[in-house]
Amino acid sequence: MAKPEENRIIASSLSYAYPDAGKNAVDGVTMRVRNGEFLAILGHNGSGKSTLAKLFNALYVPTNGTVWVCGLDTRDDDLVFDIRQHAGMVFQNPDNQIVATVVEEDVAFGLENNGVEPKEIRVRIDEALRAVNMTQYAKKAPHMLSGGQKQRVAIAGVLAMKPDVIILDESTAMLDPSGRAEVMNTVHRLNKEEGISVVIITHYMGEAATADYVIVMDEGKIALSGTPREVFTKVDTVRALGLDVPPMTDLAHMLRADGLDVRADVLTVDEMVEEVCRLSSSI
Amino acid sequence: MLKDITLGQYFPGDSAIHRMDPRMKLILTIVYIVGVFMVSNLPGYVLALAFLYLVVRISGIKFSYLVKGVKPLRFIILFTFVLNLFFVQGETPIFSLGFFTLTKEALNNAIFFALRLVFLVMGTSVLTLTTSPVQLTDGLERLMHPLQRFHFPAHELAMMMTIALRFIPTLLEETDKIQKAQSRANDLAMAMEARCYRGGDHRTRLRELRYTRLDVFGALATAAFIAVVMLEGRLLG
Repeated sequence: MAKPEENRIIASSLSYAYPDAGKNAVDGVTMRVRNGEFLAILGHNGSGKSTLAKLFNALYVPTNGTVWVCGLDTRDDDLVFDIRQHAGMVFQNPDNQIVATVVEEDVAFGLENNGVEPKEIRVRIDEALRAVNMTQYAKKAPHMLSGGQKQRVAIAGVLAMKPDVIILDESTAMLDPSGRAEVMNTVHRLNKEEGISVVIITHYMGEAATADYVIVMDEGKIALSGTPREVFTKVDTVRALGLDVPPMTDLAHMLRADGLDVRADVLTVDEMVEEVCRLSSSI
Repeated sequence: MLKDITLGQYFPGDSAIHRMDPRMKLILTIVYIVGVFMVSNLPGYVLALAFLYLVVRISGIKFSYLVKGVKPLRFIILFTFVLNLFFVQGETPIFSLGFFTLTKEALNNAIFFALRLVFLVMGTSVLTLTTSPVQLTDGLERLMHPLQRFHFPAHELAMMMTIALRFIPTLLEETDKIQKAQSRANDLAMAMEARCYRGGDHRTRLRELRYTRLDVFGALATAAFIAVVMLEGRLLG
């Protein structure tokens, strides 16, 4: 049995069916999120990945099986708000999750709900906004910000509650490339510097390539899991699951098909540069 | 729900029924409805159904599609059925319950009236499904043309119908917008819950409300303004 003190989230034979749905959206998933881990969950539309995220935040209660968030069972009604404080969630559409009309008031929202003292709220807002580099926008109206900035505000709102895990449910899906980079850089920094565990639900393979561990969902089940290198070298399996591989892995695959001796497990641009340099020096 | 309504929708095709003159189709539809209302026994209804089925088969429209079009009207049909059951006077009772007596005549009547409504809707659906709205209103206009002699606004009426039909898809799109707004509200509610929202109890505020000397000044200034207004009214009025 996985120990709660080493794992932020533990899911055991977890299943969830939507009301009136014939089959389980999440179907017997067993997995965990370790302390300080950066986990990516992939899957095509309707694979159950977003449902899984909502189970981690006690927004949905399991039909079968159990989720423990920091040792707390999400089926226990009395623990719901504790759980949501431990596992903060950032959603897809920035406009549909910002509550207030001033940035700092929005960051305060979760703290106000939890009855934190006003003085303490002030301190935490400032910390949270600094952590996402949005301090100078504290008094601005959210609708004046770019998509990436709005999502950083949403992250700050979660961060202010001092969570142990941040779950991003396709939070980059509606952003342009620079907005995506802003958000990804922010969560990577929080993961490294603050030790906060991160779960990203995404369909951008490039984002998944930067994770510590990858889980691929299909039909509510875990179809594939491992480090990004382990998962993405199975190019054909990944494609059969309706997904792409990271762009650089794809390129490496094509180069190998043309008889060039590059490594098959290239994930990032930097690694590709290294490989190409190695090849050109050996010629 | 709105998508289920087949009445007033056009199903493009090139069948014999599609190619008939809209005027003829209009007249024949009316004749068919009159026929259905004249029928009063079972073989007659079987014949009416067989005729309708034949026409639908020729037109290439799925019969099930037509049946689906009756669905939104099921309550009206049920209502007619029940009403007939209760209020038609008959002589041969089947059973009685308190003051209510179900008679054979009432049951027959109820079934036939319900069936008439079904045939009426399906018959007119065949007309609108096989005739483009423009052709249909053109046909109506031509048919009503003789009435213009008595200052009947045939053209205006036809044009109104064309425009009304033209707006059906636009209005459907607009309901789509409302649905989008609702889904936005749903999303926000979920995001609020995810951030521990649980109503007003135990909630704190980033900025606590506190009266200061500034508020007292504001109150005094406004009181002075009111006093001046009242005095001025006394002095000059």
